[in-house]
Amino acid sequence: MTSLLTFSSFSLAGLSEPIVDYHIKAKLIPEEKSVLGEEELTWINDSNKYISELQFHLYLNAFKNSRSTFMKERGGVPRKLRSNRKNWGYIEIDKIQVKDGPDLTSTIEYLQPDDDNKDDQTVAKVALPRPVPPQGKITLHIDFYSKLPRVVARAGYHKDFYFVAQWFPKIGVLWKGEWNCHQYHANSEFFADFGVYRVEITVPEGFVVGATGKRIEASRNEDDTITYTHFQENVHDFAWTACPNFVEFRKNYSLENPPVDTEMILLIHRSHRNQRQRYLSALKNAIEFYSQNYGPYPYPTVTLVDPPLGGLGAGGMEYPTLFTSLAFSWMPKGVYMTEMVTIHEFGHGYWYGIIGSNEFEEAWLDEGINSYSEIKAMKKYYGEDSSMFNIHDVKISDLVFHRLRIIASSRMDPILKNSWDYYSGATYGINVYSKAAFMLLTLENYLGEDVMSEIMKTFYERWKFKHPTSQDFIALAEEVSGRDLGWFFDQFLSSPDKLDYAIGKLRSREVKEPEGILEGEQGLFEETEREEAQAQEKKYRNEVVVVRKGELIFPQEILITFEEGEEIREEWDGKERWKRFVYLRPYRLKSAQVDPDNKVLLDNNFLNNSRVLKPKKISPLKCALDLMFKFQAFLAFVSF
Amino acid sequence: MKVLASYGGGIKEATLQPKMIIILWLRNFIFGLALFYLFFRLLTWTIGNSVLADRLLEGFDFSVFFELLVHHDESINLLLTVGFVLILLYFLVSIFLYGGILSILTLPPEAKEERRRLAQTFFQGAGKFFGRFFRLSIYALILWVAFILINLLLNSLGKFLTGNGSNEWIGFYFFWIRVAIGLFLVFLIRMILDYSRIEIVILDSRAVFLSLFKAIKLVFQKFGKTLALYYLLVLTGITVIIVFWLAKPYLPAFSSPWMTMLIAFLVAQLFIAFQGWLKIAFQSAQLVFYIGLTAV
Repeated sequence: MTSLLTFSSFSLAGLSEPIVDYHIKAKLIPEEKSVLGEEELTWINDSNKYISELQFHLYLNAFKNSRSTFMKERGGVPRKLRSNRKNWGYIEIDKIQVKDGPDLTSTIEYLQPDDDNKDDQTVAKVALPRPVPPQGKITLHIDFYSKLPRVVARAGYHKDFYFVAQWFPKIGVLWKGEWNCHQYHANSEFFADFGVYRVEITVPEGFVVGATGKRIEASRNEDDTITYTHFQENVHDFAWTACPNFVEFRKNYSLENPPVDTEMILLIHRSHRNQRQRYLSALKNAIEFYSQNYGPYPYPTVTLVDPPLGGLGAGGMEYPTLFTSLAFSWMPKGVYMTEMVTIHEFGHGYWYGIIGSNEFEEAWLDEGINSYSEIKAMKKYYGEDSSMFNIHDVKISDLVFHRLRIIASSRMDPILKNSWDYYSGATYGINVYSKAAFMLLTLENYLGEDVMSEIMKTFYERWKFKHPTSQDFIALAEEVSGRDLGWFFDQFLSSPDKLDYAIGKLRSREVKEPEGILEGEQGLFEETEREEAQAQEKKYRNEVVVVRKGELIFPQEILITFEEGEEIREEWDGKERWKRFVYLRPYRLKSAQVDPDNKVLLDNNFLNNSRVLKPKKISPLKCALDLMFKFQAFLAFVSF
Repeated sequence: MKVLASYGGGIKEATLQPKMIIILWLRNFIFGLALFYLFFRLLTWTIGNSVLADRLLEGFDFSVFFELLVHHDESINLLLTVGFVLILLYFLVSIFLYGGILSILTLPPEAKEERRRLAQTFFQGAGKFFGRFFRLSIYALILWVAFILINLLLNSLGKFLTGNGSNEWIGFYFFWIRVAIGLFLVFLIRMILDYSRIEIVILDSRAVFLSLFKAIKLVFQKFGKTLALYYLLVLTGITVIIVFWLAKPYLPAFSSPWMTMLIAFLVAQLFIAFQGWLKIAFQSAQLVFYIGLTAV
């Protein structure tokens, strides 16, 4: 081997106690669309139990046949796979043995901990000849062969583009004394232990390679291949990509406060070269936003991969220090899809990558917190009203897109649920992405931006590399804010119901003097005296009724505006089904508005949040006239 | 027959037919008004009571639009259904009016009595040819089916050229080529139908299918000229659309929003009236061209 470049080893200040240590040698075989691998895995038993079996993820088997849990959950086999036998993907363990010890290959047994689908082979266990004692370690040597599928979901190949993810036997997480090793599901993403990865990737010459971690060595081999060695500590997965049509751009990024020094690596497909600047700019914004709002980006590299059009199945997916986005060469500048996906996927590097929550069981801790961060970042860099689309007069924000998903959704699932137990892929997405993000935005508006910022920073700092749960997040939010938030999270995390407050009634009536023969302080009223009194001072009984239409409860603020300009702000705990506010004034009220500052973003219907006493005619008229003209022009065009 | 002379003759004749322009405008206005009324009621009912209504004054607001779409989907569906029914009715009325317009345009100069009783002549012609033109519309489905088949063929060709969509730039350019081809075919079919109707009126023919066939033959025999004339008229329409579009920002703004709306409404109706004028110019110019051909 001829050494092309060698970097000195470096350390990431030992942020997590490594549970796993992988040393993998992988060779890409383009003719077979496969990877031949050798893995040396050292695993530490971090529990206080003796462990007599090990469990592994064999995730490429999700693409092995139509009977896998993944295929069944997604409702059928994609045409891309079905069209050719060579398009399927799988992983075979040729040999697994304890280093310098017994061969365990014959003990491999497939497990289906989530759904008892006996045909699913995405999780396997091996029996150990001797249990691993608490804090003991074991080193295994594994020979494996990974046949990559045509890319349909997250990993695979398209022509000469390879995205190699979930590709090696990856040990499960021994969590709370039990194996937490879930099958590969259509909805869910992943969960694994932190550790050290050293991976040697051998590809034919001409391939451009990107991978998790920093490249520490590149050497040319005698068989016209090149071996790239990547190394990274404090990560829980390793993915890589190779394609001769990638163009590589490297740029250093540093920030003074907080201190960040990293290298941005963009692997852009040749057909998208014109999109280079928007990728780099979005990535720079992402690093800046996350570093300033949560904590400094800790890794020496970040690799952004741009898949080709046919490989978009791998687009928009995150792995430690490497992620994919997507772009089209013809995409107009005002469409911020590339920016949004880039910021979103980079953000996963924090919540999925560094925090490392269990995405199978509590996906919102990654997807929800990340969507919350994405909405805020998009607003900051691309405008409050135009963060997704800004062409001519048409502006749409990222927030509005998320909101549309929420308000149009059914009440089938809550935010917190096992990812594979959702009613459908759509309800999974709506709940763990959008609804969870809106829950956090609503919480931010309730607690105040400063408090929320402190919660997020503390959460990141305290729980990085530690696999926190929802309860950990709630406890931390309560601790930082100094408030009981159980009522909030109990409702919004666990209930599929909706939040909807409305102005139910608005009335203003002139107060009439009592009629008939009445006893007053000064004896009987005279008719003429009463008329005179009325003429002097008219009074109105102004009545506002606020109603709770949804099942969920949230304290409300109500703004009542009067004709003379007077404004009153009322507060209501929102617990009862309705609340009446009455005001006696010499003038009529004009309007009433629940949540006037638009803080309760989870409110399901903004149209009923306000009411005016005199219905507005001019704006409906203008809107209807606009539509009328468009319809007229359409008719004029399509007919003679 | 010269294309430019036909074009000039058509423009002149259309300009001399203010009553017909008014009829065409009125047709369009009534249908527009029907949808306007429904939409106005819907908006007043759904958003008129909300302070969000003010946001509609500032232009199209997607957040309000999405709320409407989700929370009043049944009303929106009703609106779409009514819109669809209106479009169908509009087609029927248009078929009816064709006969009237062509009856007036084909009046010989010596038909003074008919010219004096223009409305009567118009509606007599409309009634007389409605059945035939309706049949023509049914027969024209053959052309529209051919149009769909060509599009499907282009779709397959596109997939082949772009490697099933993986070559973005080819795909992008091919998309626009398809749009151009699609528009060209639409205009071609409309042109054929125009000549077919002219043939039916001039010859007072009941052989509708034959007239369609003869129109196809005529168009392809004089392909360059028929096309040139049609696209001159299309260009006239596009020019005016551009002028309207460029002039839109310069419309006077008044302190009263009612006044601003009124001016915008009047300009919009002027634009629709121009479309009526253009439709007559299309018929008239092609009629002049057709007569010139048959006279030779």
